[in-house]
Amino acid sequence: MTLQQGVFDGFAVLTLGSALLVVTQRQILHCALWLIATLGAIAGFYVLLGADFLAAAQVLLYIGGVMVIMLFVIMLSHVPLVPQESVKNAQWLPALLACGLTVIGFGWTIGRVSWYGQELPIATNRGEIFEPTTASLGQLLLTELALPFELVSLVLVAALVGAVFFTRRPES
Amino acid sequence: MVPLTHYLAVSIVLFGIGLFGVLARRNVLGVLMSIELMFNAANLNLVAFNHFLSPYRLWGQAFTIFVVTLAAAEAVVGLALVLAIYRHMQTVNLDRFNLLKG
Repeated sequence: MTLQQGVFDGFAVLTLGSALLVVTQRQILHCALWLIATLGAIAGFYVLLGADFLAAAQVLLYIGGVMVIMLFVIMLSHVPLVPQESVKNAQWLPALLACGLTVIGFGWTIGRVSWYGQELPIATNRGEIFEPTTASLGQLLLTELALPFELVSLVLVAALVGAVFFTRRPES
Repeated sequence: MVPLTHYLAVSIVLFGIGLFGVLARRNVLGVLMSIELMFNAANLNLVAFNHFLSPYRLWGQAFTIFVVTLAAAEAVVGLALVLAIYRHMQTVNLDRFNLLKG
């Protein structure tokens, strides 16, 4: 087992274990903290895949942004920290069945398809020679992906305006 | 080097966990967190395919940046809605959100 495989296995256990805790913990605050662990492990996967900019963006945007908003909302809504009733709804058994079938179906497909077919270029040894991705990502975003880039900025403005609109108190 | 299928396997299991959370959680905040899990599973897929199948063109990573941005926008609007609903109904349980039921 190489070092890379060992690190991968560690990140996989961390991701899946903390993701399981996210959906099963009773206290919603604990769920949020475990979700931070999951997102951090995903950032580790990005580092393993040579995506340095994305790993940084994951930590800054998800852990630093989205999760802080989520913790804010958890603390602003005064729900009891330990819920008295069950955290699962009545349909959890069919839901578990559906998820199991989805995972098995996709897993079967993943195992069946040969991903390095003739129509797809065979991976080069980029994994061994690391090169920073920030410059080429920036070039891509400002040339070929310029239109989606601008559209996303419009979406962000709409989201900000919508958030302010939904949370303002009615004048009385 | 870790093969592509390992990443795909982690990604699909993560997606399944997130899907279960969306379908079975009662707390609307828990559902939003499970949606984030599913987003991350998809992102991991995109980056892994990018790394293994076209390592010199970073379209997968650029797409992941868009997904992360839209996920942030979704979280902001979703949480604002949760707060607005909480102010009206004093609960965050999804099975109590039945105001429109006849």
